[in-house]
Amino acid sequence: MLRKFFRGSLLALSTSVFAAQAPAFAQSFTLTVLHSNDGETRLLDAGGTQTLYGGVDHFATLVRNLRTAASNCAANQGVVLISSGDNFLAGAQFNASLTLPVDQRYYDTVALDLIGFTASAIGNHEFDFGPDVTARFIAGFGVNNPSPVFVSANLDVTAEPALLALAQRRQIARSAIVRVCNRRVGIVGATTPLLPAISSPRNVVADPNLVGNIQAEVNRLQRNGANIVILTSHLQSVSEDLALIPQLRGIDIAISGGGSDLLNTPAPDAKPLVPGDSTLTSITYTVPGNPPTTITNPTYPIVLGGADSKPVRVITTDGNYKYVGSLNATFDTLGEITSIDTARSGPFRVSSNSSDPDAVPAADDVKTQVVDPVQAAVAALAANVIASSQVPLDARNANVRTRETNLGNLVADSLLLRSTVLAPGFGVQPATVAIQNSGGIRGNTLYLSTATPVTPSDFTELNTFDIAAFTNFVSIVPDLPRSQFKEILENAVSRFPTADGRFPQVAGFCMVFDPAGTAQVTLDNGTVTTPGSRVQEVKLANGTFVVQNGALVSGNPIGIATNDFSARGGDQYPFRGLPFTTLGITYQQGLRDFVQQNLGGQITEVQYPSTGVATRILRTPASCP
Amino acid sequence: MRPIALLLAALAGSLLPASPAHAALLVDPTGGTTVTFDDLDEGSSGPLDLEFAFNFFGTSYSQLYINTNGNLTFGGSNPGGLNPRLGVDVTFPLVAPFYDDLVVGPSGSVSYLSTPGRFVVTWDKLNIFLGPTEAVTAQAVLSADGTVFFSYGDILGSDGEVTIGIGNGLTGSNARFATLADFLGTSPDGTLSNSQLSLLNSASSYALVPEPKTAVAVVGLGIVGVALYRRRRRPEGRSRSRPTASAL
Repeated sequence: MLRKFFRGSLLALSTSVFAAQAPAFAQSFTLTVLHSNDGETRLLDAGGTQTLYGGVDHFATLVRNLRTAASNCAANQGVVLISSGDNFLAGAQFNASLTLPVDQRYYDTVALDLIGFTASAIGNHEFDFGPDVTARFIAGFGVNNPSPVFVSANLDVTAEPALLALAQRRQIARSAIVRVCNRRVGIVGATTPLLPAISSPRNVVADPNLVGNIQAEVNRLQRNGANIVILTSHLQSVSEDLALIPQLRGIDIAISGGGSDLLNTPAPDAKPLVPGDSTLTSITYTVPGNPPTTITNPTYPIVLGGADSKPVRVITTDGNYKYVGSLNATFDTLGEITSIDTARSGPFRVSSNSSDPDAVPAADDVKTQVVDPVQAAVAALAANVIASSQVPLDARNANVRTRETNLGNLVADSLLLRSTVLAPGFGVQPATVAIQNSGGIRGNTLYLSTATPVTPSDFTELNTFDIAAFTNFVSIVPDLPRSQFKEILENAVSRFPTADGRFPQVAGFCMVFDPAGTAQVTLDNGTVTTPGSRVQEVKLANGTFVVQNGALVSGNPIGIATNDFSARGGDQYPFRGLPFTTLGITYQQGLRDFVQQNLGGQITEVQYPSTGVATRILRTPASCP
Repeated sequence: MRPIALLLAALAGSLLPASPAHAALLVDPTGGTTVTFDDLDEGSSGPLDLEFAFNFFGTSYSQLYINTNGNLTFGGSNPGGLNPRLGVDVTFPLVAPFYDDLVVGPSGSVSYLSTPGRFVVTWDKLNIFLGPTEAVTAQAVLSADGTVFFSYGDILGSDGEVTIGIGNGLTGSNARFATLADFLGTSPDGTLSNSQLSLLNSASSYALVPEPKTAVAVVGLGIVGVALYRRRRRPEGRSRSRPTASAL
């Protein structure tokens, strides 16, 4: 049959008529942008002193109420619901998802799918467990509602097969057009270029050229008929968005994520906040080539001009499902905002406090399918005994932040030995030593206080979450110069005798410090302005000295296992931007695995004697054994 | 971003007795199987079986999906209406004679003809969402030798931008795609603006080959390559069309 194609005379398109067809909208259009950011698997409630607020089941009810009230296409009133990323986070609650069979959806996915998001930015925490978990989180959408599009203009996911498959299905895209009451609304995403340094994206590439990538998408969306364009970004702070907006054209609304920055509409339309919360008092941002700009008492929304001088509404809210942000904007036929209804805009708190007039009940579907099983799973963690301990484990701040404690040794050992197991899989050399900042050992308590060799106590999985409470990941900093290693240790003991979170708990070496020595002074960027002289001796487990009699001993660089918070320079640890590799597990998981797999479920007095017995962090005139 | 193959042939019209409405199409779609969609706006149908193994950018396919928005995909359905930039946006492997935000309206239809030698899909008189009605008639012919032919009836516009081309759906250095850019001066990513649609007037049909030996070879072959390619493909005993086309 094909040969027929090559016979006969040429035919040309003879009757085609081409004319640009700009849709004509006869009326204005009111779009309510409902938004949230940094839910971070705080599914049960907001925690701390705010347990009567938050809860994804109550959040669901509030979203549905607001959506119903704002949706009326017959009156040209439409709604979108957009997340700005960090949709899940490591911890006891997310662990409930991680322990599900592989064919089941994460609880976070179920909750957000039941609620029905339009689009979401891709945050850094989405990659904390590596791209495969990211993919599983996203792949589970589309069961209860159409899947949101996970947008990021500057991420290239094509080298990760599971994410590539989602991109082929358009669950991941650089940008998207959604239709709201027959209007095309463009949504473009952006992700912090810090991604490789603060998470574990493996082969996902984060292009630092935010302006170029975002603008290309905005232009494309406009070419395809979207004259309303929303940016949803996860750049870690609203100040980053404010620095970006003046460099971009064509954006109407920018939703910022990652900063937990709370804004409120001005009086008389200010919304009640969750008790204990307060709004930002000032924001400082710097547009490249310009001096810093400070906005005092910013309100919801922040308005500033884009590169085209078009006013852009920048909005954000606090995370943990404590608020549903709402921007009620009316657009003209050309897609320009003509008014904001501040009464219908602002942070709407999620309250389950019956004494609040704005309290909302839990949504039954989210409660039964998500909150109840997660609550049960957390309870199960408390009931899951993973070890027997012959000793109390000391996390009292007065101790763990000033001296070696047995729990500090346990956590540091877990960093060193679990990183040794994981390192080959990430293509890095195992570390020689480990440092855990004591501020990352939580609880300020003596865990298992009644434990003795005769009557050991149960060490539960929930204990590991309470002890290692942050979303910090086991990491290796390879090839650290010895001089820098000493600077790190000097910083770690620089605040002694103050109980400071930078005080180290260590493994793989012994150190002796002199409290009377000069305390090192370190800037936030890791620059040492006053060298310290407190570290007198550092002796590796193999007997090699790194510091002896206060003097540096030359030798090979040293690989350090630590957590990514410290590796990034937290607590002024002077790693100064050295490359490091995160190993795909949190230090909580490392602690759990270490206790179960390396210790065989036995925490003994011989190996982890009670406080008062020091072999790793000594003070002069003692020497390392 | 590089096109690996684009061979333009101002091909002869179909020998089939085309109805006047379909005169510009390579194959008269009359008698084809009407495609039913789950959604006439953002819809997809499939997988549909091919009667031949279709080698497309190194992979042999036996099934495909027909999508409302002027494209075919391999490996999965593709109901979305936002046309991709080839080599920039990830898609399934894609054949897009006119990828735009289309709607199968009351007067429109999508149909296919399947034989052991070719698979012909025609988007006939489709509407543009929020735009003109009965605005787009386009056809893709997949031939058993791997060549893809595009031809067009009336084109009354787009939603502002349309994608025309074929691609493996990947991006960056892994991208393999062919567009009309070299011939029409349009964007290398396969997109055409409304004002550029009139460029389609310069020829009636386009042949795109997904798998030349190398990209360099294709670029170097140029017009001669087109002639050689066509001559090689022509069955013996058949009359030839002119070796070069008016558009060349």
